[in-house]
Amino acid sequence: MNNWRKELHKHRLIKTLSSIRITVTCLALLFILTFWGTVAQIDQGLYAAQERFFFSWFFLAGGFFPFPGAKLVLWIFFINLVCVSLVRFVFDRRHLGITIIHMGLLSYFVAAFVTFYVTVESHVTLLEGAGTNVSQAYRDWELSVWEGDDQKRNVTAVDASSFAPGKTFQVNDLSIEVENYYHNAKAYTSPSDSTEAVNQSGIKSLAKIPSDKESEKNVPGGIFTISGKSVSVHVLLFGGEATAQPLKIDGKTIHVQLRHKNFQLPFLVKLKSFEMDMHPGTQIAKSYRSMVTFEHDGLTREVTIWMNHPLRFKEYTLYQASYSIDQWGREHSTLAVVKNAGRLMPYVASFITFSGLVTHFLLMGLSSRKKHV
Amino acid sequence: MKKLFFLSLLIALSGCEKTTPVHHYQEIVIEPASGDPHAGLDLSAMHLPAQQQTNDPAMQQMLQNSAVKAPIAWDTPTGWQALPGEGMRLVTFNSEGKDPVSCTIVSLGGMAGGLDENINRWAKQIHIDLNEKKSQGLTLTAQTIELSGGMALSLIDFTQLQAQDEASTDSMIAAILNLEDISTIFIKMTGAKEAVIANREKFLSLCHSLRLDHE
Repeated sequence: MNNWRKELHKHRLIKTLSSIRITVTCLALLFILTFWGTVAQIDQGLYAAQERFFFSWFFLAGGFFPFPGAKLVLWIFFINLVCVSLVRFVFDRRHLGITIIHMGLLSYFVAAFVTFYVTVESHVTLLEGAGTNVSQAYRDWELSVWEGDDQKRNVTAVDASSFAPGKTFQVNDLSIEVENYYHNAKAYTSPSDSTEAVNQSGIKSLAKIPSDKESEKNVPGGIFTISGKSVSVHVLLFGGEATAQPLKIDGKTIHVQLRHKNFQLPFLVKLKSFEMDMHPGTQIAKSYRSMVTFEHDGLTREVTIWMNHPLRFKEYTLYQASYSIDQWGREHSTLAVVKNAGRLMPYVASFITFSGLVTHFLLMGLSSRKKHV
Repeated sequence: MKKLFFLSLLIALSGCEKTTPVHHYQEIVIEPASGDPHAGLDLSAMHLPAQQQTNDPAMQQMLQNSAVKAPIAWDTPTGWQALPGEGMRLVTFNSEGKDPVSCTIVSLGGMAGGLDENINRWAKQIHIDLNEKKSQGLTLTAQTIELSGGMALSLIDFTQLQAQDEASTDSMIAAILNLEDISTIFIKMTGAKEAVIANREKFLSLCHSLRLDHE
């Protein structure tokens, strides 16, 4: 055993963290969390259950009993495996395969962490002939502010997850104060007793309603005070509104809108044409595809995106997700946009694990041959 | 001390995903070419699966963004509650009391199918066979109502075709207002026949209150 490993062995904390009891406890907790989280999706919905059971450090079981979330358990499990690798493994040639396999398993953890922290999922929904360079979140919202109404807009957006009554945000020369904000709201054209606010759709009041278990169905609303140098305006914004609210502040026309969070893409995608094939004699789609014009850095190319044939560009992947036909008979195509800087990491982890297995079986084969000789 | 280090590490990692709430980006919006070659297609006759039409949140958002914003205003009839619309639906009214009806004002681009096509489509929605009614001597005529500003709308009252039907039969009174070169406005009240008849005056008062909104 190397000297540094002997030293590590003496280290009380490392020794404790490399305990097999921690491994077994983590595995048992992961089993419970996976089962519990899966069953809870029936009542709480997919996203809420994922947030509670898998993406949290702790949650309150039954409303009072703190229970570790999968995020905490996985971190402890990861630290435990690292400590085990450092303390327990005997690094000799005979166990080289086993060591590589464990490195592969640890790589899966790293890949999972990277994916969890850097992956952004969004979508682009386009009508034939339309194009955009932004994708929209499925659940998150933002308050977008821009000046003018040109084809190119410089948008400043405030993340709605940070909204709370009394909070103020500085957006360019404007100050935006949140008077009221509801994560899920209903809008009414009958006025309430509270302050009157500007709204172009004729909405006069908002009422808070319970959050839907399918969080993408929640439509937020709020009342904001937008102040410039010379004027303050109370504005009522509702997520269900189709267009932005124009406001004249300090001689400038600005637009504000409460809408799904937007992500700027490093390219422009335009839906040239959408086609679908039907099953013979039915109106059921057999396959559908989007012919898009892809523009980046002044270069344009035409790409067809269809099932299992996504468009990949750097860390972005655009999949054909769904399509719709509105009552005018116009076709809309929805492309899922996944930004994942670590998308190759699971493949690398699989390769390391596979190499470990091959190495281990080769070494075993060689050693048994030597014994027979 | 070491335990404290690990605890600090965990807390630091938990804060990794928090970012500043204000961000900037440049948005490019390319609208499709104007003109809608598909306007007025009767999709109910195409038997498209329901999930292809409305339940995709992305689709709903897209529809909202692509709807025609009609420059009209109206007064909510007394006793009706107005709910904000979304997409092409400008507003939804729900009546209060024992005769519930639902009324919507919808704005569509262009001619949106014309009067006859829309009458046929609506008749199908409330299960009226216009040919059968015709053979019974019942025909539907659109009534013209003059509005302020020189506008005129066509009123179609399906209750007059349902004289022999039960009071609980689905019925409808609808109106079409064509705003030249901008959009076509559909005002549609649906409910049980009895309720539709009871709310007819309120529907007419809503139609008469329609005006161009110059703001």
